Amino acid sequence: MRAILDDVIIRRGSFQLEASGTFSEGVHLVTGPVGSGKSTLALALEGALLPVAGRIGEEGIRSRILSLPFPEYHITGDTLAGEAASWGLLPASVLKTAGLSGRGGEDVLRCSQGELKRLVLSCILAWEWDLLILDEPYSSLDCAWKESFSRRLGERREGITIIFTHEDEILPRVDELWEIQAGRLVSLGRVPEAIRRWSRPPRYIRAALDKGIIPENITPGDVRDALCRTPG
Amino acid sequence: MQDPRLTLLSTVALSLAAFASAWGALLALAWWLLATPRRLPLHRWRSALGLFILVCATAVLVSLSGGNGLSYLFRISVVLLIASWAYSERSGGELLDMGTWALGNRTGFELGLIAEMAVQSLEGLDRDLAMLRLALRLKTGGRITLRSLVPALGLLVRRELDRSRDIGDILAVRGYRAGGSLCPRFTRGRWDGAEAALAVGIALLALLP
Repeated sequence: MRAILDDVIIRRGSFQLEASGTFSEGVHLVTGPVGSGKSTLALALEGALLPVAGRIGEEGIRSRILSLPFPEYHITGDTLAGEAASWGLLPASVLKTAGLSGRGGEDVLRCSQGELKRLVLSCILAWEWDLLILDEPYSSLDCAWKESFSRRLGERREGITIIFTHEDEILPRVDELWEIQAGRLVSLGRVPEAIRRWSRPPRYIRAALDKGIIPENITPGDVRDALCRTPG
Repeated sequence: MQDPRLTLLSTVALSLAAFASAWGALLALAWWLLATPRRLPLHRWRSALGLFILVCATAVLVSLSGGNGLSYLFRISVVLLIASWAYSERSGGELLDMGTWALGNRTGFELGLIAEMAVQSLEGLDRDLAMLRLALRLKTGGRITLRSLVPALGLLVRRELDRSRDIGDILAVRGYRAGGSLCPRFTRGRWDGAEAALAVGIALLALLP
């Protein structure tokens, strides 16, 4: 199972993004500052934006989903239970996962963006997707939910997961790192070797790198463990 | 056309001419062919098609009620073409500049600011609708029902209201009370004056008995 970017050039207005590489099975993290082209690439991988040059190919991908940054776009149910049901799921279990137990009859218009985000992400993660594209999944989530969501992402064993984010506090365990630098997608390689090549790592990873420590992976727990293992 | 004041003047004049008579519409169409880059809003073909169907339906009703439906269809299509050109010519801040130029630093500035924010909201809504369509396609495979649209559109309206409240808060935090100081500057293209004069001439020809 692979998603292949073959010398792709994507344009949105005056903005241009160049991308080459292969996303194989596993969890991939694509980082870059706001406005660097993460959402553009996410839309292109989903097929919503066509490249002006190059080719986006796929092998063995039969199901896909793109989680958009704002959960409101995904909502089609009038209540929280209705929204869970609209994804073909049993509301009770999804609402429990999203921390919204007992609120199934609540109007979606009365919920906060964070609550809707938790619900939409829980609905999406309840299914097994061959290609799961998450555009800024951490926005609107508090720290506890960021951690919980990261854990659940780390539990995904099959399929391709691509996370586009500029999150700086909590990240999941990933297999490969990518970075968008000056309008170009750059593959940093597999973790942990890729971490030392990361030009804009989150602060907690930067702190470890500054001490010459390379953690096994990029979760705050991995960094804590690495720091604790280091004498002095 | 670079000067937004002349763009606005030409838009009003040509819209009036096109709406007044079929001859006026024909002259306005000739002006559009002569003075603009002649770009149809094909990238928004869905919206354009929807609008055109609406105009066609109204034209049929006009015909059925004894009017000249064909003339109506032609005149309104030209009005929409001119409006589409005017919209494509706009750039950020020009409404604020025009408001201040026309009505001064208090009333003009405020009206310009409101107009500027309204256009920004329209652009935001446009992006929201595109994302909404994409999300519905991903989730339902393109099967869109009225039942699924109602909560989605309700949430978009709420998002827009939240956005307006945030902008209001930012303006208040920055100390905005009323009016502002702005020295608007406008650049004028070589043919702007002549094109605007031609548009006003067309309006006079179409409107004068």
